[in-house]
Amino acid sequence: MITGSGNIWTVARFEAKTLFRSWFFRIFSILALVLIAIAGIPLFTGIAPVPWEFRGIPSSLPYMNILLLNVIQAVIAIFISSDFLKRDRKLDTTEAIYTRPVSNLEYVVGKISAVFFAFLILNVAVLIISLVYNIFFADVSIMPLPYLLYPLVISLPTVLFILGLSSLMMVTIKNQAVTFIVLLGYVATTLFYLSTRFYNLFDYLGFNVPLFYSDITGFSGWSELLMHRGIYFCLGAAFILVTVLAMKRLPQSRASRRICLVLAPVFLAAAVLLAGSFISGERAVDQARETMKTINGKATGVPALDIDNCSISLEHRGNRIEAEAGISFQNRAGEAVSEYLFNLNPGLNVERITGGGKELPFKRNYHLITVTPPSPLLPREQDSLTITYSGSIDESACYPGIEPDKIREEYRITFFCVKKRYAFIEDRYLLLTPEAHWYPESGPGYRWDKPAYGNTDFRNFELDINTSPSLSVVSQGKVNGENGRFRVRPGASLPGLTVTAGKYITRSIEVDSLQLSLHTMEGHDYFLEYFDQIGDTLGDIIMEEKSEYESKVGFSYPYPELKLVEVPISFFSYDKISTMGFETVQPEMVLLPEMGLNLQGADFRRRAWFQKRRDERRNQTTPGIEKQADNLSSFITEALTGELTPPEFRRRASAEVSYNLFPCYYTHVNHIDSFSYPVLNTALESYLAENLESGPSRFARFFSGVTDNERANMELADRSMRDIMMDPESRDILSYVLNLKGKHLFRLIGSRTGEEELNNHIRSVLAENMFSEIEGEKFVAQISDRFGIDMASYIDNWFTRSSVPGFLISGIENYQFVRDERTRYQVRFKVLNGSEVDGIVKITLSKSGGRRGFGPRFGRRRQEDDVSTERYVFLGAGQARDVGFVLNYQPAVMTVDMMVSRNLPAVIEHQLGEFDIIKSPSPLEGIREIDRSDIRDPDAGTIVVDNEDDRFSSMDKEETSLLKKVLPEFWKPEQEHKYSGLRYWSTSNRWKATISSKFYGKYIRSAHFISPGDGDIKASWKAEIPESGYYDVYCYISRIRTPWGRRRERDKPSLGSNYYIIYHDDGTEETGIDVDSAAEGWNFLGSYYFSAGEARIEITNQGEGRFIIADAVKWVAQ
Amino acid sequence: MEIEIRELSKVYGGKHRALHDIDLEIESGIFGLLGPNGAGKTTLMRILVTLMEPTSGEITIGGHDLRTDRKQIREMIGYLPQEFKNFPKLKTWEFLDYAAGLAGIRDKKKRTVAVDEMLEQVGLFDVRERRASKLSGGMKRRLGIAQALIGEPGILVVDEPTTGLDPEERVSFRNLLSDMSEGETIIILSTHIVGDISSTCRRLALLNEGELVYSGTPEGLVDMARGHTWKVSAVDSELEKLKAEYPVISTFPAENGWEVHLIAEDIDGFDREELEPGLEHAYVYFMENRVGADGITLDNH
Repeated sequence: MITGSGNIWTVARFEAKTLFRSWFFRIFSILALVLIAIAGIPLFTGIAPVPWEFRGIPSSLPYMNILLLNVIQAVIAIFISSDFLKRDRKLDTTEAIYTRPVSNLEYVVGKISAVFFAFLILNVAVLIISLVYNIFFADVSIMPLPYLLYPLVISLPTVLFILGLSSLMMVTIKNQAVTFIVLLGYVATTLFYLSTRFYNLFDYLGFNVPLFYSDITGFSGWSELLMHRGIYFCLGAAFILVTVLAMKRLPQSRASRRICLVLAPVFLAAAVLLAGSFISGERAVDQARETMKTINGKATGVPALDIDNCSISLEHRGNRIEAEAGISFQNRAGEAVSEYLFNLNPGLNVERITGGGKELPFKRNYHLITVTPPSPLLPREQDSLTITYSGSIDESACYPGIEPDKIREEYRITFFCVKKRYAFIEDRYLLLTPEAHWYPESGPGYRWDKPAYGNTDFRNFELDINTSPSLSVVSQGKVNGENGRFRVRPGASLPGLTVTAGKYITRSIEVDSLQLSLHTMEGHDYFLEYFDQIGDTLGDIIMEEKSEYESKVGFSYPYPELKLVEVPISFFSYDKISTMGFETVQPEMVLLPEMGLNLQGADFRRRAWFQKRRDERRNQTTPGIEKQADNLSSFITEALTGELTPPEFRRRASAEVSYNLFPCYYTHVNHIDSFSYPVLNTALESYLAENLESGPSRFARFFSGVTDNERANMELADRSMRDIMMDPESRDILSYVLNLKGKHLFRLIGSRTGEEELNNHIRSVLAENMFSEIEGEKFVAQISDRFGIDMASYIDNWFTRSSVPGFLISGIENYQFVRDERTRYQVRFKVLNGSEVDGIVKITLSKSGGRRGFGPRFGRRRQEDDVSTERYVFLGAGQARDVGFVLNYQPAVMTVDMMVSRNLPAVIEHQLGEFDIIKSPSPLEGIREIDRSDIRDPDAGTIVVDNEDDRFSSMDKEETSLLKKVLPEFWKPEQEHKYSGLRYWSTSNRWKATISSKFYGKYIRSAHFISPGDGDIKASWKAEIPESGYYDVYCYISRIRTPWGRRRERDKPSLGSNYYIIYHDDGTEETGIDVDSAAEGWNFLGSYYFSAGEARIEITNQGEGRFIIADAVKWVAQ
Repeated sequence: MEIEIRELSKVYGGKHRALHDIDLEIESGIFGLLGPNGAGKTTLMRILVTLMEPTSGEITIGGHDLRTDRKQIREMIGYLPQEFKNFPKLKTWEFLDYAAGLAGIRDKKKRTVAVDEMLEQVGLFDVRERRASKLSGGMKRRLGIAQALIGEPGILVVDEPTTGLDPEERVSFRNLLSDMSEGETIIILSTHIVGDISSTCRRLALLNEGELVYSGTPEGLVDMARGHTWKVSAVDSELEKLKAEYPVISTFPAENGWEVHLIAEDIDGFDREELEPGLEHAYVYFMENRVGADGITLDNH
């Protein structure tokens, strides 16, 4: 063995020498290091608009850098390992080496060790670079452990695997070029196609393995992590051993050959076993759901027991809890109950149940607890039990309503992959939220037949908790205690209790009798230095934000306290069907992500940098105190009081979690408990939260072609809400459907009852029933009685009908006039509901454009001077209205939100432009009923062919790119709907449809677009000419601007000319039109003679702009 | 030390017979392997140095079975392959150091001493810092012999060591070998140049087309050619005829034409004179007869 290790050392030493002298290695290593060092400047110094997660947590530095290096070293490793075998064969001097007394195992291991050594040095160099950035630029201290762990979990398995694989390929294929191509193909396939498919099993680079190292809890899911990386470690080892066996040199030692023969299958088997248990771990969520679905499938009707009190004593011991929950409850069913049904997380083992001083028999079936009381519980009677249980939380049973695929979807914060966790019971940390089901709840839990039904019992909770003396506890209400013993006494009935214990540092402030406290982890006080000047005004800033928010929501904050609690970044939550609220927002408690990662507003250093830049640009000096105040309110807006859901564009890029406080105002305070109309609660939630919504981001249009609301509308066009809700495939769009339909329901009713009256009524009902459930049937009956409508049938219709309205807007006019010595502004238009279904549109006129972009709005305060006016217009099937606004300000934009409709875009933006002065006007203020025949079709008497018509056709050229031809279907990106985003950088030589308010169309304003080419690809409009004669020919032009780039560039001409070919009786005429200088709307192309019969106009892809747009053409008889 | 080869055969790809039924015993001293290109010399050597497995037959080296005791055999062997030109990116001394390390000199100090001595011995000390791949052809061969010699191997196997060397280098190389051959070391030297053998070998084997055609002392081989080596005088026109009919060893210009040395059983019609044969004559005689007359048997050893 000593000679063995000596030989390995000798081989390794000389291999390393030759490796370090290889130019390939030198150049690649230096490139890698330079690349990583340079990439660090924008990423980690805070001078560029790079997300906060790059600096907010110290592990991100080594994580990102090692991950980057890993891609590079995987490529280098392929080359090196295939190279040394090739070199062995090529160099005649190798023969002399081969006759030396070295076993093949020693020889190969020696060579591999040398490569490892080289990579070790590379890794260390990268870590040193990371450390430098960490020391000088990050807002957090240095965490030493991740520096050690990342090379071990990322580099080691990857390098071993790729070395093993390429050596094996080399000894079997025996051609370096082929090996190289095959392996690079493999790398590309795993990176771009296999990626996270098949449970992320093929991710040997560790790109999608959740490796984010939390400062609070470290790696989450160690076993899963070790399994995944272990697979590649073992495969690598096995491949290397096989390489030894297959090496073209006569073996020398029987012993080492035997070692290889034994170990290679052992490693291979280990890899297979690890993969197997990894997959079964990943599939645990499927199993948990299947089990619960089977068990809960037997449950029928409303849960009979209504829990009123829940008093828990909890022992937190390492990674276990031991608990005793005393619950008292009432039978709310109409009949006696002989079996009590509760649910509790299946990871918690029930030891004992006592009632009336006696131990009671019970059955445990996965998450269910069935208790048989000595005698049946009569209606309205009370009983109480004590349930003793212990164990940990089985997280695969959390969020049963979320599909396994969604659960397995990666949680990525830009570059970093984070493990999704729903509960923590660890030595140094505890976090239990209601979703963990860590205390017994009534009934079976989630019901697959009633996905929207959330059984919410408002209860009086009490909690006594014993934890490690070094931890402090944060929970709802008053928390008293020390040395690991705490008493938690919430001040109000709560729908659920949350408790967390950690090394928290608490900072509080009392603002207008609201106790506001911030609980952050030790050492996570980076923010202090950015707010050192606003100590005195802190309260005022918060008050201002609070009152602004409350004026939007229309409620006042119901609790005496608000606790902002930092929780590990891994803590994840989903949107449920039963509520808009996320698990991150609990009664009087918001669980903010570690270091505010996910919240760009938490990057105060970068904000400060931007503020400084802006001051420099404007040549001004904003006082520090003002900057800090600005920083704080922006943070509050982004995190807590801003938009209800993050803008679409960003949501796609990272987590879809919201921290908006809204649930503290409604969701956790009131609950419409309806077994027959379970969606009612969510619908009401959407209605109440409507003011918190932002308009759709225009970026969504350019990226994905349609907004989420439009996707929801497209779903609703064919199916009822009920159908969509029961279809797991539609889960992604469901929350948009619910939101859209929820608002729509109450707006529809409001249009009958009077908006304000309905709103007031609902709010008074809610105020009367704070902290208790409202029976849904009663709620509906009350509205019906109060307003004399049949709300139940509204709901039925709303829930089951599969048809949506469609609206036509026409005759928009706007002018100014003087009345009572003041200038007034009239905006007026006609709207027709051309469908068979009732509908409602929302009109907004605003002084500024009110457009919003994406990303953090650094240093940009809300536009205080923006004024807007809103109005809802109800339109029954086939009805038309004349709508007028008289305003004392000049609006710039009119937005028509068609809510639930078949219109595309669902929100039309109309630029009002100049307001002419009219001397004797007859303005309209309000809504006037008109006959649908009063609406004059501006195109009446003409022949219009739109790109949505059958008579429009687009010709595509054969796909010329060989690659695209050869690539199988699955390589092509999924396109779930017809409309594409107008992304000029990815336009193609195929006609694609896209939507915009500016395009021509009736219900659907769309056009086809294509990238400019040499005129060989065409699209055509055909029309049936009724009578021979001269016709004027027009084309519809809209100047589309993309939102990219600087404002100046955006407005630059970019569309060039379009070329139309008109086929008329005297031949064909090709005519160009300069789109940039043309008027928007119909443009005259010329007059031509057409005989009766088919006429045709074509557009070609000739042009020099960003794209060619084919929208509509018309023939007007002279 | 002794090498015993019994019924050794090597067949490539199931068809080409590279070695056929070789029986050979090799003792200490220099042993020459002679034969034309393609005779099987390299195959035999590569088998002996464990680079290749025989198809059948047995070989024991110092009592160790070549098939099973590769480690022990490799510990005894120093090998210089026929081609020895392409080096990894190592300096001259580093390459030697590598070989020394693999040959079992683990101690760094000892190894440095051994490497320096060896470099001195082969005259490469001055270029020790130069990349091995940058050495001249002769230097590379010397480095080759140095790496084979380092660690004092019991068996030295050198395959065509003098190819590409200039005459002076060839002489010094032969001297180096004969210095080495004193003692227990077995030196196996393969060559197709008779001159390499004549001055150094105590015993030799003659291979042709995979078969052992002679094994014994050089003198024995020479004896067999005695009486068949002639000096013939010829004029220009006759020279062509002679060349066509007999294997001509050498021709020298003479007063009336040419003095031709050739091999023949007998020769008529020419002015002839019997010559005392050398190894070269013997080799040609032997090869000619082997090729020309199948009747000749080879029971000489």
